[in-house]
Amino acid sequence: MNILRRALAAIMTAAAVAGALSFQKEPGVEKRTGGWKKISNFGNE
Amino acid sequence: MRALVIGAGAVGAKVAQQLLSSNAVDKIVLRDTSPEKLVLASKNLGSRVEVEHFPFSQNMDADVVVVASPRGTQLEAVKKAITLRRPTVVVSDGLSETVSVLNLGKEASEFGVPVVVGTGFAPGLSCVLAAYGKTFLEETEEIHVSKMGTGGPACALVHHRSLSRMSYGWREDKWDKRLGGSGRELLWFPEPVGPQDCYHAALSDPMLLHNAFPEVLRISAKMAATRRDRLTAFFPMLTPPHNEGGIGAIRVEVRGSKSGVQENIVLGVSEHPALAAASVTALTAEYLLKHKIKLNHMSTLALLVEPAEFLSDLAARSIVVEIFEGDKTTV
Repeated sequence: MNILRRALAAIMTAAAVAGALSFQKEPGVEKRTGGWKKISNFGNE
Repeated sequence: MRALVIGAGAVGAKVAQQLLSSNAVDKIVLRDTSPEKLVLASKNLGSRVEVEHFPFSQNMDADVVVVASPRGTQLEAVKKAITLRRPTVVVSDGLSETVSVLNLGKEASEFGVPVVVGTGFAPGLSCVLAAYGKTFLEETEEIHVSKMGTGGPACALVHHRSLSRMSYGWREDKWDKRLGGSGRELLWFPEPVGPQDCYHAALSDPMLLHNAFPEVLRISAKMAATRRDRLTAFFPMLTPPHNEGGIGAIRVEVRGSKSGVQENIVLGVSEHPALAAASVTALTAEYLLKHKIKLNHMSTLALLVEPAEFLSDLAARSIVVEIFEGDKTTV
């Protein structure tokens, strides 16, 4: 029973890692960078 | 020049300080029901301040009246100022009282008195940011305001109550009522505030923004709150609020189009709410005294000031406006 439980946990961990890696590598995923920028010159942006 | 500042709390005392330090007025009359607040304010502000405690004189002898008193006392003060034909700046906080003040518009026009409603952090600076955001677009369809944080104890009480009241937003030709504390949305404010869960709340920004921009199809306002805020909103405040809250922020998102392309303009400010509210209010009072605002009726900041000039003057008072620039990259 213990072996089965460990095997299941290992399979689930492997699946989660594989999923995360494939998501990271998936082409065309939009990633937003940038952020807040202070405005110092109003009207002349 | 002489200014009457009603309310010596977190905002009122700072307004008095800023008006004196900019030499916009020679004398300030500071009015409050609390002798402790008056003593503290007069100690900090020096000899050019005259304090007035209860019972107040019926005569508002001043070139400009600034109403920065707690919710529930502003309407009477504005009524009195209009009757005495005194140019008035109203900070505004609670939704119902702001609506009642706006309903005095007819009287203000009849008496030919300039009254500026909503000169706080939100509403106030939020309205100027919305007006500034609009200048980036040819057609504006939506304005969404969100705020985080509170000023003094009176502001904290309004914040507390607003989560248990109905919120009003403008949605395609009618007022859209939502229960306060509903409609969770994760919004990013400028640093150091960062991401916060925001909810519908009984805020007055949509009323003032719709008043200024009736052509905009959707206007909403949300407020950052914690689970505890939402849970306890229906009860009296369990602990007394702080004298002044920590750093807060506002975020204004203006959606519309330019040259046929859909655009979102996101502007924000992170600052102590009471300080920002005081800076906006003091600057508005100075604009009135210098006749930069030419007005003989009631109006709001969004319509009265040239947004770029006003924000530039605020920047000189260390109120820094930020714009969110998200450049898209494909990985």
